[in-house]
Amino acid sequence: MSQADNALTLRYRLSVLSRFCAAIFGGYFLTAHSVALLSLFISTTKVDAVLYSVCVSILLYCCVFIAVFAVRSLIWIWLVLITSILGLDLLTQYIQGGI
Amino acid sequence: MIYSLATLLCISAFYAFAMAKTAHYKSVFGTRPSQRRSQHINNFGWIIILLSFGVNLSQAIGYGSLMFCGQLALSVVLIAMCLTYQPSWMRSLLYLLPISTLLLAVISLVF
Amino acid sequence: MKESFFRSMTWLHTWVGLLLCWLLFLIFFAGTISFFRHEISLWNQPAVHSIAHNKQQQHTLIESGLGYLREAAPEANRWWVGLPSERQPELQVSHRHAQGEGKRDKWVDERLDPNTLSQIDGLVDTKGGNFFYRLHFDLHYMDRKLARWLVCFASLFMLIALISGVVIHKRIFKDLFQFRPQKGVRAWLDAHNLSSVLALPFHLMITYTGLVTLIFMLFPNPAETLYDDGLKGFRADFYPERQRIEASSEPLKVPAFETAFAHFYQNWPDQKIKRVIIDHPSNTASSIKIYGDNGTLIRDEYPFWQYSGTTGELLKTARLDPSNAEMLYGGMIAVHSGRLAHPGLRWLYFICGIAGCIMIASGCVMWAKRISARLKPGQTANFGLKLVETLNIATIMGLPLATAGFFYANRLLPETLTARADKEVLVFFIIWLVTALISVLFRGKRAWQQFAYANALVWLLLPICNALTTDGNLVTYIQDSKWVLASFDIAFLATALVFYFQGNKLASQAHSKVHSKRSRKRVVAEQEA
Repeated sequence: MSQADNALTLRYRLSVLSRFCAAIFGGYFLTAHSVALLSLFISTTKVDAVLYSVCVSILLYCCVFIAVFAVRSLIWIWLVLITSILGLDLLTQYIQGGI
Repeated sequence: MIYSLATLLCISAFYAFAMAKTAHYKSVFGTRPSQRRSQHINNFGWIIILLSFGVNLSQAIGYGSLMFCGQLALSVVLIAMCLTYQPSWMRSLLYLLPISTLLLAVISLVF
Repeated sequence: MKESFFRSMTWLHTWVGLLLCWLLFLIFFAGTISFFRHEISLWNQPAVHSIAHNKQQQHTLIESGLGYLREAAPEANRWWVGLPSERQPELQVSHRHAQGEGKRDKWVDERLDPNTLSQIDGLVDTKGGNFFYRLHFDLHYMDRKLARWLVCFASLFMLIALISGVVIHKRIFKDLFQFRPQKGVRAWLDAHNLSSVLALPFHLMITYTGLVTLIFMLFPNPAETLYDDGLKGFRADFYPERQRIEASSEPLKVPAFETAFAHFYQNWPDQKIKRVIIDHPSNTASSIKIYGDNGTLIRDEYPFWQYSGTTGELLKTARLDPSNAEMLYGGMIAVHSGRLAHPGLRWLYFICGIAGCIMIASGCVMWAKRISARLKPGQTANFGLKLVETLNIATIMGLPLATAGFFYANRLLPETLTARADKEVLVFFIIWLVTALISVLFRGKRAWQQFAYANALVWLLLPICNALTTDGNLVTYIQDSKWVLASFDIAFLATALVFYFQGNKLASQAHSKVHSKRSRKRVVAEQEA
C-alpha cells in the first residue's frame, strides 16, 4: 500500500480508522455473540459448555479481525458485521426464550 | 537424561537441515553438494527430528511436547549462531554430535 | 485477488505490530522474567539462602505448621500452611485477621525453616518476583481493570501480527539459519525472522494462552448466557473451593482436625500436598481445605478436598477427575504460566521468551530505520520519527537497566526503611524514567551504544554487589551446590557479556556507515516489493 502511503488523504485515513474500528469493535461483538450462541449448542454440563466456548473465542476473533482487513469493500464489511451481530443476538434470545 | 538425548537429536536434525542448504554446506565443507545429496540430508533431518519428537513424547505427552517446542528454539539458535560466528565448529560438530548422541543413548538405555 | 491479500496482510503486520509494540515488549519482558518468579523471590531474600533443602515428611510439616499457628494466632479467621517445594525452600505459615466492617482482612505472613521449625531471622520487605509477575498483566501503577484490557488488546494485536507475519513471510522458513550481522540493517531483518521462526510454536502458544488467562474479562458472554447470575454463578460452579464461609459465633471446643487428616492420609496416601488452609479455626464454622500438588501435570487448578473442622468428615472434593473441557482450559493456563516446569524446561521457556523480546525489539528498530531511510537527504527528522526512536531506546535499553536497578535496590536499600518493597519498585521506575528522559535528548547510534555499555557495566557489577552484601558468592554457591543462586550470577554475567558485544557491534557499525546506507536502501526496496 505504498502508493496510498504517499498520498495520505483525509479520506484514506478515515477509511483506515473505520477498518480498525470494524476489526476491533465489530470483531469483538461478533465473537462475543457467536460464543454466547455456541455455548447454548454444546450439550455438556454448563461449566464445560462455557469453558469450551471461551477457549475457541480467541481463534474466532483472530479470523474475523484478519477477514476485515482482507476484504476490500468497507461498506460490505460493516453491513455483514452489523447484520450478523443482530442475527446472532436474535437467535440467542429466541433459543433462550424457547427453552 | 532422556530429555537431553532428545535435545541432542533435535540439534542434529537442525544441523542436517542447515547442511541441506547449498550456501551453508558450501561455507562449511567448501564444495557444492549435489541435488541428490541435499535431498538425502534433508530427509535424514526429518527422520531425526521425528525421532526426537518421539523420544520426548515417550516421557509424557503434554510435558514432552512443551520440551520439544523449547528444544526446537534452542537448536535453531545454536546452529544459526555457530554458522554465523564459528563455521569451523560445524565440521567438528559433524563428529561430535553423533558420538555424544550415541553415548547418551547407550547410557540412558543401560541405566 | 491473491496479490491484494498478501499486500493487505503486509500492511496489517506492520501496523498492528507497531501500534502497541512498546507495550508488548514490556509485557513480554516482564513475562519472561516471571518464569523465574519464585527464584527471584528467593534471590531477593538473602535470609532464606542458607536454608537447607527440606528433609521432613509432609504430614510432620503440616502438623508443626498448624501447631505454630495455634500458638501464634489462635484468633485468626484463616490459617494458611504452604509446604516447601523445590522452588521455595521455606515453610510458609500465614494467618488472616478480620479488621471490622468494611475493611479488608489483614494477612500476616511468616516463614519457618522446615528442618528446625524456627522462624527465619532477617527477612527483608520485598516484592521479589511477584513484582514482575504483576507488572506482566497489571502494569503496576495503572488501574487494574484498564491495564488488563490494554494487555488483552496488545496480546490480540500480537497474535494478529504473528499470523499475518507467517502469511507474508513465506521465505522465512527457507532461510531459517540466515543471520548476517555484517550487513547493517539487513541484520535486523535477519534477527527479526530468526527470533520469530525459531520459537514460533512458543510465540503462538504463549499469546493464545495468555489471552485465555484473561478470557472471562474479555468474553463473559457464554457464562452470562447460561447462568442467571452470570459470571458469579459460573464461578460458584467452577471454583467450589473459593466459596466464602461465614464465621459462626459458637466457639469450637474440640477440633476434629486430626480425624480429618487421618481420613485424608488413609484414602489418598500418595497425594503430594501443596497447601493446607483452615477457615475459622476457632469456631464451629471451621473447615479444612487441602490442596494437592499437580507436579508436572498440565493442569492449573489444584485438586481439592474440604473437611469439616467440627466433625472431621469430608464435605466436598473438586478436580480429582477433571472433565475434558476443564483439562483444555486448565491446560492452556498451566502451559502459559509454566508452573509445571522443571529447571530444564524453565530455561527453554526463558530462551523462547527472550526470542520473543528480540523479535519485538528488532521489529521496532526496523520501523525506525525504514522511516529514516525514507527521509530525503538534508531533511531533518520529523516528530513521528523522533518519538519512535525515543520510545525504542527507552523501552529496549531502559527496561533491562531498570531491572538491574531493581536488583541493586534490593541489596542496597537499608533494611529498616519503611515500605521498603515499594521503594524497590520506585527505583525500578525512576531508572526507567531517567533512561526515557535521556533518550529524548540523545537518540542516535551513539546513544544506543552508550546504553549498551551502561547495561553491560551494571549487570557485570551485580554479582560483585551481591557478594559484598550477602554471605555467599558465585564460588561458594557452586561449592555448596546452590544451583539456583549460582545461575543468577552466571545469568547476570551473561547479560553483561551480550550487552558488551552489542555495544562493540554498534561501535564498529558506526565506522562502516556508507556500507549500511546502501543495504538499508535495498531492504526498503525489498520490503516494498
